[in-house]
Amino acid sequence: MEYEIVMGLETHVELSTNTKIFCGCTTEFGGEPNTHCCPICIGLPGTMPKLNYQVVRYAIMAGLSLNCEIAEIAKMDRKNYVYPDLPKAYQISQYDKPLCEHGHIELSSGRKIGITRIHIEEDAGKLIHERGQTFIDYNRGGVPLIEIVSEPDFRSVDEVTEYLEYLQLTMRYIGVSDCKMQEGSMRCDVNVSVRPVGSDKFGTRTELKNMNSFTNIAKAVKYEAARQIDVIESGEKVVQETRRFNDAAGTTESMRGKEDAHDYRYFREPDLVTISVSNDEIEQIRKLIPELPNKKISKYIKEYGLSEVDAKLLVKYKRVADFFEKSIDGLKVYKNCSNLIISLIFSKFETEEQKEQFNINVEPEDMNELLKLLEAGTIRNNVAKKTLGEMLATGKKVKDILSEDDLKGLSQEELTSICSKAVESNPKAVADYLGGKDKAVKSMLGFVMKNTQGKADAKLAEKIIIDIIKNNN
Amino acid sequence: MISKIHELLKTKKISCVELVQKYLSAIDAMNDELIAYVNVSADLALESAKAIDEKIASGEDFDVLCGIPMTLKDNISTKGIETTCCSNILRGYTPIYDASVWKKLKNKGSILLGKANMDEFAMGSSCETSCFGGAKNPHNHKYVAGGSSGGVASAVGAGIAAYGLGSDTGGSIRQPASFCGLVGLKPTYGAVSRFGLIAYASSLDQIGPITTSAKDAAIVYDEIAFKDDMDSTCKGKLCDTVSHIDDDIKGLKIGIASEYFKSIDSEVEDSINKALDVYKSMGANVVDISLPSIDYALPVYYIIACAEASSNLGRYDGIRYGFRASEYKSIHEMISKTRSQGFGDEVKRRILLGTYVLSSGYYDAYYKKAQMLRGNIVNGFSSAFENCDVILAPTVPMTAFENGTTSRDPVEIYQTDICTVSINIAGLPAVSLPCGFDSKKLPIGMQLIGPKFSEANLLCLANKFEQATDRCFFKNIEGGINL
Amino acid sequence: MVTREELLDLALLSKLDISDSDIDKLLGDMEEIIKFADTINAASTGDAEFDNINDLQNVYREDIVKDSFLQDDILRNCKTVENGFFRVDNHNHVE
Repeated sequence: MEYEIVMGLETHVELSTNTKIFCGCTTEFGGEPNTHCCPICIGLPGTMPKLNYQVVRYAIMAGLSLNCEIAEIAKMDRKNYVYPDLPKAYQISQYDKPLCEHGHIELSSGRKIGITRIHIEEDAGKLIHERGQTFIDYNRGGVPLIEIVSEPDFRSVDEVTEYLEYLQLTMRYIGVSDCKMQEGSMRCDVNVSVRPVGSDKFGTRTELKNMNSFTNIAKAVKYEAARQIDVIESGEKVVQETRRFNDAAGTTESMRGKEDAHDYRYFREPDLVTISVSNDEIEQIRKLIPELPNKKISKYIKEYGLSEVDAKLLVKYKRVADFFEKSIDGLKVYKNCSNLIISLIFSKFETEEQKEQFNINVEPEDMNELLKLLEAGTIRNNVAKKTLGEMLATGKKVKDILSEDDLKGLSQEELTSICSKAVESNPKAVADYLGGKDKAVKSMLGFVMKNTQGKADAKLAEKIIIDIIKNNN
Repeated sequence: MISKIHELLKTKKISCVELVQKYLSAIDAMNDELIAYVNVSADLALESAKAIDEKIASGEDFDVLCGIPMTLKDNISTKGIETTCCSNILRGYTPIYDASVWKKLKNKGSILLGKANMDEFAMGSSCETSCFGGAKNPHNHKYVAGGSSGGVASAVGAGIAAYGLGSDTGGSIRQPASFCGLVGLKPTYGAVSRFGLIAYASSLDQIGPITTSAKDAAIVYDEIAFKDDMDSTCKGKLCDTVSHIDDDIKGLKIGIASEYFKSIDSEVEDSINKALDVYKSMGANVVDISLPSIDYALPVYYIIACAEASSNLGRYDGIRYGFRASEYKSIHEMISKTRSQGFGDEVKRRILLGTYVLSSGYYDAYYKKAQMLRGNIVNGFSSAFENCDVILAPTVPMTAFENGTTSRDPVEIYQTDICTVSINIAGLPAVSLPCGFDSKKLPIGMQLIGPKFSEANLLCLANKFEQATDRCFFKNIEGGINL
Repeated sequence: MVTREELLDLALLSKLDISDSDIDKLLGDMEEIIKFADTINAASTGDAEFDNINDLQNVYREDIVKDSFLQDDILRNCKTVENGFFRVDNHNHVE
């Protein structure tokens, strides 16, 4: 029988607020253990949480950018379970009144993925198991998270990857999270089930917990789907359970032990008050949302005439897109800019991280100046490249690099005069050309370029040279 | 008492150090028997007293609470001073921060003599679930001081603290105040910051004063009721209460709800009827009101309180503070053993009940239904207060229990909270004040219940009764400080 | 009514160990207590709703960093501390 994989995602995204969700401790990553802590975030008896408004604002921004409805009234709830990384033995989260609901995104295939809900909650501390001992650091405890829950709308790992990349990009664009999977600021639980192709009933699902890379998600889902198919084929039933991916073995294994018998006993957090969101507030927050990446990509293609590949490359990094848009201010041709960024600037970076950072010596205003010269034909592409290269290397401005002479450009008369000289001083090439060797023009062209410091338009020069030869003979 | 001490300090009839020494030696003499204090911070108290004497000597103006020796229930966090909730699981725990109320009072110059005994995690009505043994009633040591703030009531009642702060989740300030012949104020939910109060049931808990007069309660309330940034649910007070303590009560309508008089000891009922006469003589009107919604207040209270407690007490896992079991084979086992060895029986029963009523399959029938009934009770009080300004009721159906009689049937003990819990459920303020003695010479208490943030009115009424009866229901205890 | 199995499940969720010697007494107590809680079954709720005992909304904190506590203070009440971490041995035996 043929099977179809059905997946739903629960994605945890750490918000880039300055402080934790319920206290003023910093959210900075790393630091000496237990130095970003206070009585509140280590849950000392008697302490009470106080909600950071930025968390609410960021969650609403995330919700709006994923086409969610924003709740008028939301509240916080306690999710009770005992674990050493959870100092209060409950996580303050949202149960039945989350901030955002009923959103969706559209994949490139046109398929829609439903967003069931987005809620805010606190992160747990970190456990390190070593030599039969457990070491606990609560620095991460209380760092704000949003959990983005999708509908079980995924049918392939590619869709999952596209969705996650989309989330990552969107969250970065709106500035609510850096979504670094390797640092754990984006983590993913994948619900996986299989069913015979054509069936409209869902199979029993398992939950793959805490996936922290795209590669692992792909591997884990593939393994888990195959495992479930095996179970079904052998006449048994898939058990609904939580499983963890064993990276080394490339397998998934059951996490359920007797101790994990979970019944979260949700109830309203009595130490916090109702969250009420007005329409005015939503509109104010909406204004904080910049143009989203999918909009940008289609604008770049349709309005700026870029190729899809180039558009996506630029939009992939918000700082690059920002730089690009500022650099093309007042120009008519946008391709020059994207070409220079992609071919020249990107080659300076080795890692994705560096592209993300986009730390360069060149201000968009300078880039714009250079591009204007290029567009006006004052300088040629090769000069532009060389100049930009030097700008990147030294941080010098356009006018510091190009001489007055360079900036003057080359008049038709000057070019014609140099072309004449080229013809005069290359009788052999002229003879070759007349003898049918079209390529002979190139050596005369070389003369022209050399004597104009590359400022000449090669095509135009070639035409002039040929005209002179024809006129002379 | 507070004003009197203030006067003595101001007129330099006594130095603060002398005053504190007096209290400390009285504690020395009486506490072994009373177990009012579980931890006496003598050195710190004397140190603070010295500083206050210097302040007084410098001629600086000083606040009415400055230099007043007092106590805090042991569930109020005190930086650097062990805070145990009278539970073995928190033995040795020293907070690294101050509860907001204590921070305020410390700033005002109040002097902490020590931490007061209580039922373990405030779960009990006799103080006998304390891991240190129950606090005794200063009127008769054969009887309990009450609970859960038994230690505060015992200390203030015996005259070994000028005032104290307790906490009231289902009657834990008012009941011991009633048993010990004192004034106990349970403020409106949200009037006083809970930050630093070790939670039993967060939607019911409130900190409040136990004092020897309504005026003292007003003085303390005015200081501790402020809007606190650390507690999101805290609004502070509506107005000062001291300035209203002598307001006229003519024409005030006192409501009597028959629901509060079911299965009440006759001696208690008689005292309350006499008190009503006193109020009538002062020009108050008495009206009958009906509060049928409180019939289910007791089970509603226990369901909600235990549900929240089961969550609030989950954190005692032996990892970061307090007791840790010494022998175990895994961390999970360590946690279970720590909790089983560290918590007493009553705490365990309430955690189990709380877990039960929140667990899937039972949530709707218990927790959710109790919440709906809570709504009924809130509404019931709202309509009742359309017909009266305050409600007068017994604080407890009886006088203090004999020592050792509360360990029998847990449910039987729960029933004794019948008059107090509905007030917490509705988040209302209530003050208990003494109104008689029974044949065993044990104090009888009554409570005045008002709409939210009506503390000024309640304390004024309490003060009026105290004056009209010439403080005859307050009794000085031999050996205590009586200035 | 609560069965022995249910009580053991509750204990597991509550992280409490119940020894064999205690279970019968506890089972009796819990039956009594649950019977007492069951009395609300008789109550009619009408259309009562209850949201929250406080009527406050939107109490927030600004996103401004405050100094954290000293690591020593954070760890002060833990007897097994190592290199700035809270430490728990995964098993422990007293000889």
